[in-house]
Amino acid sequence: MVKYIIKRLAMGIVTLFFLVTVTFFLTRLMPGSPFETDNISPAILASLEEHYGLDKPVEEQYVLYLRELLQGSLGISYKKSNVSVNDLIKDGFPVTLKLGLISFGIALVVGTVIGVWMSVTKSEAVRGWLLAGSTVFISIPGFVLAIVLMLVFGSELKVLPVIFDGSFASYILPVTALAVYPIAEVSRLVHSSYDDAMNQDYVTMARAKGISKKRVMFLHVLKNALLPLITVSGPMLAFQITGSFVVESIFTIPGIGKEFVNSVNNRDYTVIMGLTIFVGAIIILANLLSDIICAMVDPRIKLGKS
Amino acid sequence: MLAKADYFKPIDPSLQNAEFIAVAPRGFWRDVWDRFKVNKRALIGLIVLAVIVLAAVIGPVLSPYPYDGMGTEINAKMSLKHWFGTDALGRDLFTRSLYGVRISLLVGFLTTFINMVVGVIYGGIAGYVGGKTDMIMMRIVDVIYAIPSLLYVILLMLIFGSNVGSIMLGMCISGWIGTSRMMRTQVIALKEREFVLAAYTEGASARRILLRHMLTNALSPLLVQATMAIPQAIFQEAFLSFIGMGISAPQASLGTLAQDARMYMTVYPHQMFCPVSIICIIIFALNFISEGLSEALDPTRRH
Repeated sequence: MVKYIIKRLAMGIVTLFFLVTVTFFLTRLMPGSPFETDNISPAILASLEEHYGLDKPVEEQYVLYLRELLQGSLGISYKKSNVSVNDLIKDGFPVTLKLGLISFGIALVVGTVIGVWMSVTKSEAVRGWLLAGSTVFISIPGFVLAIVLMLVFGSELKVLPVIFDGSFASYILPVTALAVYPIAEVSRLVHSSYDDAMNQDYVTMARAKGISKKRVMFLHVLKNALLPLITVSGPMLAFQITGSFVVESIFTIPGIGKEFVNSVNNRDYTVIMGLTIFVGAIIILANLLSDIICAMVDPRIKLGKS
Repeated sequence: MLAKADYFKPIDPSLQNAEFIAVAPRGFWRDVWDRFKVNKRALIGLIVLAVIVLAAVIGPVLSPYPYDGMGTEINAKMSLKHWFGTDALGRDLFTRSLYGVRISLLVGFLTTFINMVVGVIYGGIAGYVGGKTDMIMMRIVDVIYAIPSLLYVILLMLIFGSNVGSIMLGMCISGWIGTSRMMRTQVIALKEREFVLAAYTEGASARRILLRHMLTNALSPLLVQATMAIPQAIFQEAFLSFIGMGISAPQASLGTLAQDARMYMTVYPHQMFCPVSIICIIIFALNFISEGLSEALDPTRRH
């Protein structure tokens, strides 16, 4: 077990290093100097480039960047010279995280309930409608849902605020927009794994021993049916974060998703680089955790082998 | 006891054909099609998709308006003349939507195809060779896969500019990994089977065994995966175009059209509604087809 965790941690560090390197060199490949658009004299341009260390050879810049990164600094914005990427993250990430975790939690609970319902219902019609509904909801892009919600509940009915201000009511629309897709995904996953678990021998065994049907269904089967959820929750969290890019910019939520979209539109290279590395690191960490938890919970997973 | 000639009599000629099968032999794909077409949702999905593809291919040719032609009628309502109305520059939105469908479908199908080919080759080699090579190849895959593809796409868009090519390139960087992992597992399982051993002892080359014997057996799950990957790619392109990082003007994808309409959303909701519903319809259709296909290919796995 310990060996497995160490191995996975080492993989995570290699991945992180790969991410930093790729991001760094790709950002250097981007055309033009980041300051060119500002209509400034060559002398000022040169001094600006010196200030940010852009006059040095690329390898040296890379080493410098790595050193700063190890000290926990993600660099300073090219566009706003008094703002560091760390500040942007410090301000924005709590908001994104809160939004992400709430919608993620709702998705897990609601998705599981619907998934189990799909499996245990005796009515073919109910199952059919739930399945069709989940197909409909995984077919609607997040930004479309966000806009429809905003138009209907914000602009037409005027029951919920369209601009985020941190109040409870202003959380409802963005959280819904973020949660619907994972709800549909989780419910389908739980449905199929629940069906698989129902056909296992231990279910017959437990029933034969006289354990009530309810207890078997909700204790024995559910516990096993939820295992695949742990595996997918890492990638799902990644989806939540990238999904927040668009939801945050639609509802003007001051999170890192909005900062990211802004920095891309402004071509603010250090911020793009810093946020890419940060988001990537979060996702690597999430995958790592879900793998380790999965290995701890499920002894069937051969340790050290994938 | 000696056998005499009259102990034997010729067999009734009609019985000589005892092993004759009255029903014409049915191929695997014929079976799949028969199972597919009883699934109403899947069949409707297929028809809808066919209509949309047809419209996207021949529609722009028949349309009286070019996709970037500006007119004097700006922000027109939906009418017989302009089916989806016109945008702020007087461009016919129906024609632009058809072009958008072309781009969406191109991105969806081409990236999926490239990813399938790369994934099959990579996963096939890793699984077939095995050992250290397999280990190293799979660790590389883990590293690439850990980074969300959206980040690759955004970085590449900034380098190569906002066009279809860089979107597709970005999606291909990590898009093939799911396929390669699946192909690898399939190959490892198939390696132990007798028909592969038979092919090997007959001197078939590794390439022939992989492509001819293993790929055909692994095709069903790969196909199902492909039908799920196409809507994902369309999703992602629409999403990128919507946040202003996709296809740039005057070309337009469905996502760009939605982005353009966002400013006037409350005044001219139809400009948003039309392209967005087309995206949803395409993805519906593809998802229903995918569901039907996975059931038809593997009838034991009902879902």
